Amino acid sequence: MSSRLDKWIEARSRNIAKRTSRRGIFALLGGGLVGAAALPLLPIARAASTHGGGGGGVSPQSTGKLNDPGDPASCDYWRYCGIDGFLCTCCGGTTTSCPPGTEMSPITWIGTCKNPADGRSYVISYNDCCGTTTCGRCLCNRNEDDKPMVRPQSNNDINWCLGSTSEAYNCSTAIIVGLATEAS
Amino acid sequence: MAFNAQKAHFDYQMNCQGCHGPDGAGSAKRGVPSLDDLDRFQKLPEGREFLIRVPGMSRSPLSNADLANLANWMMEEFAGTDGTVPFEPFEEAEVARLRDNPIVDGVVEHRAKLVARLDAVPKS
Repeated sequence: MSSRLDKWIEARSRNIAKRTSRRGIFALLGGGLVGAAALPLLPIARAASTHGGGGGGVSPQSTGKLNDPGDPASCDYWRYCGIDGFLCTCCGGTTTSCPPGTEMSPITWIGTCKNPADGRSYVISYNDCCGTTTCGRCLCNRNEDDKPMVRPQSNNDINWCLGSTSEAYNCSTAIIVGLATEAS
Repeated sequence: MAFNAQKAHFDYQMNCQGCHGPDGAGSAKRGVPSLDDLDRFQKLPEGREFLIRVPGMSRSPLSNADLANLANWMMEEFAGTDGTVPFEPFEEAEVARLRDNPIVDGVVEHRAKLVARLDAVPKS
């Protein structure tokens, strides 16, 4: 059995060797390398990296807690599952505090996100920070749990700064306000 | 009072807290009413009905049973019923009936008129 397989592989190898150039493989690999380098330059790939990976010249951050994993300066961070806006962590604030000079909106959009560390869902309040112009860094728009405008309290397209002194929107926080008792 | 506080609190967070705030204080500046005077709505039948017919309640995604549970929890959590206004807990069937007749338009005017009438009710 094994000798038949050996013979078959040998025959195939000799066949390939007869038909192809030994340097052809380098040409093929080289082409692949150039192609891979060119791909991230395409507009669509750049948009994706800003959209899903924080970006905006902001270095990765860490919560420093095993039970709160991920990079809070990246859209992928678990608490951002329902976010639509600029991350305050990229704008001089944190997931729970506003950048200096801005005011936290008292009214807010609320959703639930699953924490990958313990598999439980938490109630997340996306309080907007208001009072200065848009931050412009780390735009994230994940929209999980977003509902249409017929239920305004469940829609995250609203400028929640309408509850603050100034309606100018700067960025969004993601504050844990409780444990979800059910998937919602 | 019979209600599931944990469930009610979660439902409140998911459906109400965004505007009414974690303590039910609302936002006077933006016309979001405080929930700390819910007990006075119990002084008149139409006041009690208003608490369920108001759009945020009647048009919420909650089931009738969950909405009754939430309303009863809110009465205790925010209204601070001091016993001067007797309160009968909401039942599922009552909630179902009231939701079939939601307030759709002019809720602000509706509420203002209602509050004026409630305030006119003499203290017993």
